[in-house]
Amino acid sequence: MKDGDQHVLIVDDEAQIRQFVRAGMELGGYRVTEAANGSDALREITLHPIDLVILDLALPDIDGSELLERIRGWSGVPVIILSVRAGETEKVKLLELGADDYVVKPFFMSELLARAKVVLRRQSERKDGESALRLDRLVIDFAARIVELDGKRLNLTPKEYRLLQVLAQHPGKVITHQNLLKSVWGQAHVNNTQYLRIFVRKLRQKIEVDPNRPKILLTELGVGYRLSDPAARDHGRPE
Amino acid sequence: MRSHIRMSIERSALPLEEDRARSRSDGAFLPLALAKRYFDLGRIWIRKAMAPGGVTGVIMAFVFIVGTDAFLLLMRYIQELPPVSLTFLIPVVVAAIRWGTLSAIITAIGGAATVTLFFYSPFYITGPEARSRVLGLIVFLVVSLVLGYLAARTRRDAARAQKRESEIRDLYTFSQRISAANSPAGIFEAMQQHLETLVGRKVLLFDSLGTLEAKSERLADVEIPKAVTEAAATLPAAGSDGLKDIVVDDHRGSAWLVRPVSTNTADFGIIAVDLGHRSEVFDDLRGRVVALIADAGLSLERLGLARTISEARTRAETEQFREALIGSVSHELRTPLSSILGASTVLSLAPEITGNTRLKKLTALIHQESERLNVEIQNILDASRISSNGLQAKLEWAEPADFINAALQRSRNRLAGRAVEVALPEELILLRIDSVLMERALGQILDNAAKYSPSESAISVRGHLESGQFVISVVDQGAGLDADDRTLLGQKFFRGNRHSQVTSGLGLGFWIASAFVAANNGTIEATSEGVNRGMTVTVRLPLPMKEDHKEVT
Repeated sequence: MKDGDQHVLIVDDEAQIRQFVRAGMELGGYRVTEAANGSDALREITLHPIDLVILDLALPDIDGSELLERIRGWSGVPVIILSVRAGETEKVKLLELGADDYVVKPFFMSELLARAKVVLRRQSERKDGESALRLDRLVIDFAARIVELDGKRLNLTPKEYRLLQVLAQHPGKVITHQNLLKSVWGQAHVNNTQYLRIFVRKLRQKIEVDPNRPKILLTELGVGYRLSDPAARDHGRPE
Repeated sequence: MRSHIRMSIERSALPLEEDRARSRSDGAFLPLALAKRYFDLGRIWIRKAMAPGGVTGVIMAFVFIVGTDAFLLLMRYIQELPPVSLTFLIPVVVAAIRWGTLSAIITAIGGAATVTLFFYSPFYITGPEARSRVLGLIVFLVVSLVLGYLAARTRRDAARAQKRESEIRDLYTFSQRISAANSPAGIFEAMQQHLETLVGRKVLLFDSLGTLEAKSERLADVEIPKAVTEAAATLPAAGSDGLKDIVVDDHRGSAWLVRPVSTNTADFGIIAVDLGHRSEVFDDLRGRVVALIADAGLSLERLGLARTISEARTRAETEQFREALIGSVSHELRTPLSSILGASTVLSLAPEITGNTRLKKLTALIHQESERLNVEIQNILDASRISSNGLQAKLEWAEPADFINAALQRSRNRLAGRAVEVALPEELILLRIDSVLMERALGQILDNAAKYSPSESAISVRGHLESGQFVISVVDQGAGLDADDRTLLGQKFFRGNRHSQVTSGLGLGFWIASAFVAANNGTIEATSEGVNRGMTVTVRLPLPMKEDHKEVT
């Protein structure tokens, strides 16, 4: 809880939700601003240097996904979506629109805090432009295209490496099936989920202790995959 | 037009009675009444005898007479006179068959008269030759009359048989359409069409409130008499005891029969049939139409459609109400629950509470119970989605290990403190499933296993391949099943009697799991060796054909 003065904007029309999310975020050491509707949210983002937006989809004036699109039009500020709609199609759509993560209501504050932390860390790392990523036992050197597990170099096929690389560019972030297929196999194979399943399995056999109980390359059912972020684990984030 | 005339041939008996009754009642002056009566009888007989040729038959009779006479005269001229009387039998029979009795009689009598005139001298009917000629003439007359009558009757019978056949065919089509119709609308349309064929006039259907069913496009250009609309509107209002048919006349002199489709209930609506002018066939036609409507009404009742119609109305309303209820359940219950759950988790992070064991426990309690409430709300929503067939599985290539892990992850709080053994095959298995639904199904199974077994007993989740199927079995060491449980398990809201006092829940779990597994083309089965000997829930999912996913390199 040392992120200091990072500024979080909570956009939700329910005062009760804003109230406890504010309390929780403040406990987590963030500075909080609230907005009860879409236009207020847009104003806040323009006027203040916001580091993270927690956005409820059901807003009285603008639809949440439309607001997200508008924000993404000119700002790369991290956005975590709050939604009562838990459908996987919905999640995929939001991720494609540029959401950094989503949390389905009702949720645990610890979960929201963990996700906020991951998202913010990712944001700061992006600024640093690191050329290597360390995930527990796994080290990915993007410049040298080398992947090491417990200090031992792994033999990955080009496709396996590409898959890992795409996931590792945004550790902790869910990358949708379509996105992965497009990046690794190309636009033509965007619906061949079985390619993805087979290569994920192969990759897991190389990087996981038990490919049936993965700890690094995690599945988001019906949505996509993500690499576990060590930052998330401290808060009992489901792994 | 043709069928209308045909009908009048055989339907003279009833109007005759009516005519008789009518003439008797207004017969103030007896001879006049008698004369009128015989005049009426004669008129009817002539109309009957003239059918089907009408005036043409009479004209043709004369043509025959002239023609035959001309032929005979020609024959006599060339000295080859055939038997005169016998020759005349041919046109008589033809006239009888083609144009009916009257035509035959005219031909016979005219033939006899002209033969006498041209071939026999009417003024010298003496002598043995003349006497035999007269005798021959009489025989000819009798034979031709009898023949004419017989031929006409045969013709009439044939026509009647043909008509009956076509009626039966119509009725058969009608009954076929009725039995094939799966909606009341289909039955009504069949009835309407059949009646229109039978009567040859307009048939209107009104719904149970007396308003015209505007379904039929044919009605677009029909002017509907006001009297009919009014009768249809008043009929259902007369109440259930007053359901009978009435006849009203429109301004063009047509009589309309207005009748409820069923005399027992107004639910089937009102039917109005244009029976045409009040004529001698009117009552018979009315009787037939009433019988047909009654038949249709009966079959509607037998099909339980009265209930179906009112149920459909209720169901539509219920469905609307249910949708609204589900909408508000998910919003109105979940929103405050989100606040409670969220706030309790914020509290559990606050240093003031983490430092106080008692408060920490209380916060954990709020937390746990609101989570449980959340699960039950989700179950109710799932159950109503299943009940309304709103379940749509999105089948994709997926690893079973993924949804098994996710389910274990989601149930981790319930499974806390137990040994959970998981055994899955080493090789990659790909199924065509909806992972999200399967995760929820397995989650329900795991929750049940945890709920109905001692809190520290082990639960095992095993997956293996078996004859073209991927089999997942969840084994607990809990309460097991007794005989009652075995038969009732799988029903909605079923909870074993032994548990209802001890364990909370709505009894939806296994039912939801079954529906979700079925949506993935799988099967689910619960077995137990008996009470308190544990239970095994086995889920079987079909393996897709191998070649479907072997091509990837």
